[in-house]
Amino acid sequence: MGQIIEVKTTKVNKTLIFDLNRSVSGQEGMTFNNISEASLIPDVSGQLALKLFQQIDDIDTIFIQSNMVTINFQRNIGNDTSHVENTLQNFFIFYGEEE
Amino acid sequence: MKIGITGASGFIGKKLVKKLEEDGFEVFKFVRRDVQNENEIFWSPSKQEIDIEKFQTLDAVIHLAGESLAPKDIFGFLPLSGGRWNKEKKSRIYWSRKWASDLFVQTYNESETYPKIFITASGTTIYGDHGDEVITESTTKFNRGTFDQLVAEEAWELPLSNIKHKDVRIVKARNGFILGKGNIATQLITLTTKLNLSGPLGKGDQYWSWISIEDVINAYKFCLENSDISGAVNFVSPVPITQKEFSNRFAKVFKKFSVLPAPQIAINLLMGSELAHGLIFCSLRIIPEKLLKEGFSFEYPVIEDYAKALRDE
Repeated sequence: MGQIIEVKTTKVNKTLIFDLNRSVSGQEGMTFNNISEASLIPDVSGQLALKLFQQIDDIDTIFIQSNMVTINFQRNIGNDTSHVENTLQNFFIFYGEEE
Repeated sequence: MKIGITGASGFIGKKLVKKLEEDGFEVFKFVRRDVQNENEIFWSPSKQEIDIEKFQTLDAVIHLAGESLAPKDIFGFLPLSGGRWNKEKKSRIYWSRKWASDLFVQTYNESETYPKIFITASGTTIYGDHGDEVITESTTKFNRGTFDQLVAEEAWELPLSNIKHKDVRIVKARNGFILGKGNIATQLITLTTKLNLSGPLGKGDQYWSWISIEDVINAYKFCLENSDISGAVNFVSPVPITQKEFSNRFAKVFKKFSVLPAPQIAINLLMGSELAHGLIFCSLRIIPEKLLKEGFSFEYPVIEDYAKALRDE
């Protein structure tokens, strides 16, 4: 069982920006343009991006840098972003258990 | 679980039958000759005949049969050989698929009980040349105008929409460029690499969406067992790369050079332009979105790993 994390969400048009209370990657950041790219990166940021692509529809790109996760969607997904926040929180709760 | 397989003696079929039998499935092979044991089912696509009673006892059908697009051996590429896409070969490629698809549609529609899973081989050629545009299963734009595109769309996939039963889970396995021991493309690539004869084919900037035979077999089994999967599924590795890059990376593993260019015009003359386009020059940058979304894990996601496996065999 991993840790529970807090997520602060900002929505700008088709983009959601999540501010987490823990770091997911190094400072250099990484962009995932599709699920294939995410599947090839075995570290936490790659696995998180893979889970997001698997569970959330209509994602265009994901950018992960330190404690920030930016998801660009192909369309405006509306104001209810709870399913994305839940995916992020659940990822950290269960991360490592599937290995 | 009772699985019927067409094309069981082919490149994919042999390995898939072995895998499924090892994993405890009861496998029935569709054969065109007289049946020789109870695990064979008679069918004849050209005569539109099938043992419908045995068909009805199956839980799933995996349909792989069809005249091979590529020649059987290296000599098949040469002018006047039967492997080139002449009128006769093209007719066999098209009708071997169309007749089989039509026969299954008719058999389903005449049956009250029937296999609830139908997985058919298809090809990524259905998308047609897309340059460097990324293709997923959601891509609905097909760039038509070539024979191999027409075959995948019209002979393989389209007829299946006429199956009237809505409770049949239909999977269209769009196979990419399959690499594996025993197939002609892999033999040619390995041989030219070992002889330092590999390099860019044409400009070399066309994308190749390749996949290892091991991952193809695992993907068929994954689709068979995963009830959430239906419709088109891309059977390609997660990393499509340009032909030039493919050749470079492959050669690096073999500690060889990949610098010898082969002009498109020479390849067209040698193989015939349609076959050359279908096998070499059609640019398909495809990702396996559906497999990855459902949690499929690739044994060989990158070309270097598979080149190493081929080198060390």
